[in-house]
Amino acid sequence: MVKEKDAAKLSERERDVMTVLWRSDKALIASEIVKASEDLTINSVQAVLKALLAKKAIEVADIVYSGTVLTRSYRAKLKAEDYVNRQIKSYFHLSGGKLSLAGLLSNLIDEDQEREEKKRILDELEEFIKRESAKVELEEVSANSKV
Amino acid sequence: MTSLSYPLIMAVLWSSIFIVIIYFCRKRNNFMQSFGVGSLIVLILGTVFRFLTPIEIPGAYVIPSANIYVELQRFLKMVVISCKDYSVNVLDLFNLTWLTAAVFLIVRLIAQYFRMVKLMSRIPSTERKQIAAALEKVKAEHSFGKNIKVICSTEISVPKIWGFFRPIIFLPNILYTDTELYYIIKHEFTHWLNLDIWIKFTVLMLCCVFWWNPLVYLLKKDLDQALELKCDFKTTSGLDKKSRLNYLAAIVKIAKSDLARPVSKPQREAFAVSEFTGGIAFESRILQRFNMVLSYKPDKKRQAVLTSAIIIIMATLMAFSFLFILQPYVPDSPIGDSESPLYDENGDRIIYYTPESTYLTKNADGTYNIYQNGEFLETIDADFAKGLMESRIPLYKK
Repeated sequence: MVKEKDAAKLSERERDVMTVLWRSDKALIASEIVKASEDLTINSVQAVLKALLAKKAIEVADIVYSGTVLTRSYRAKLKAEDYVNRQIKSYFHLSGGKLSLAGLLSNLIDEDQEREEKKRILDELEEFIKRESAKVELEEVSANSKV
Repeated sequence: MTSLSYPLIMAVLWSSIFIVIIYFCRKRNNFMQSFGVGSLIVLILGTVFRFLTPIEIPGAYVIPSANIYVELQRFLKMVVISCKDYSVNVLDLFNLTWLTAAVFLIVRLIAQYFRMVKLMSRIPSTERKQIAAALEKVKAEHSFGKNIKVICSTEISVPKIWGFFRPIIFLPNILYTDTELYYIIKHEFTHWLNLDIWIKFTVLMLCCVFWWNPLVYLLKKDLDQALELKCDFKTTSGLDKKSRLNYLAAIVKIAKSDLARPVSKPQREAFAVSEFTGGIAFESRILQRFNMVLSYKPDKKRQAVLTSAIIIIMATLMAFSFLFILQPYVPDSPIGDSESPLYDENGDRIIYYTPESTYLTKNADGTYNIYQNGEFLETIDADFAKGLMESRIPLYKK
């Protein structure tokens, strides 16, 4: 599992390389990463791959031939979903960790019903939708049979 | 030292009355179905305008208040901190607290925005065929050629849209049917097309400025509900009953998945519109959404007439609100001249007790209060008061 601290911060170039790897179904070598990207050069990709290895965001998948030369292929160890989740979590931590006066007041006003009560209401609404959908289907069937 | 702003008091008073009217209108399905959600939004925007225009127009009729305002002024002028030649009264403290908190909240809001912009630049779009298909369908319906970023995350509790200039949709990372995903994306995108995020931002700024007025939060809640209802209507417009039921089923599904999450701190992103389920909900608001989706059949011509009527009524009420201003009772003030200079040789203001500017009120303990130009000056004994009354300073009963 990738350590949260290591992979939490990716530079723009690192994100570009990770995006290529996330989109790929298979492990890629450096030259393939360059081809898949518009802005990256082989030198920058090599440097970024080294940094990403250190951050444990990627891992070496295999040693493969690139033409006649042996080279390493890489795959993402840090999943795109995990990266996105951590970024968003970090944002909420910064934005919602401390209650502002306005936020505090609005929470006091908004807190009107318990979760159980909400669940009960939603269950009832779900039942209502099922009943009404069944009625609609019945009407459709009887309309079709008349035709 | 600061002084009381009567136009500001009138702006807050009238706006608060409008907010209460809006609340009762919004709650009534009959009003919403007859006048349409657009009318409610007009009322809300009119109220925001009144809040932000604390001005006194020339020729406004002054309603003098010798009681409430005078007592209020007396309280507000009470000195709480005194140091040599400088003193701080209750009004000064209130204004300082108000300003400090307002600035803090506005700065916080702006900081949130820029944090969000930074976050958006770091997060890639979630690439799934199901999302791409729903997006293409929605974009084609609205002839929208630009890119719409969609971000799926387990950290998102309910669908939201963000972005003033470029739409970014956040989705909870749960399983959707193709139809559910289409409805959700369409709903969120409709918010963006309607410029709802700009409207919400305006009301959010109002909440930052008038944070101490609990009614502004009621206005924000009603605005949120109005925006949801408007979006529900646009999303389900032209759909048959079965499709509307599927739409409502998507709302319920999202709400249930949100409830199933572990309890955590509320996700507060000021700029995001549409928590798809109406966010705060709940029973009366979600039922109102159900009612409107299933039974709302607007008569466009009739609604256009009624909306115009609402605009005229709002404009009239607004004009009326500027025509009157409540102020403390102020007799005519003296004008300084060579016989009655305003300042002495030390530069201190000389107070003149004249029948035109000054009056007395008697207290229960036998002392008297002196008021000048509606402002409380001091409490004096009976002998001093007798002397003033012999100089024709009027005595008023409370």
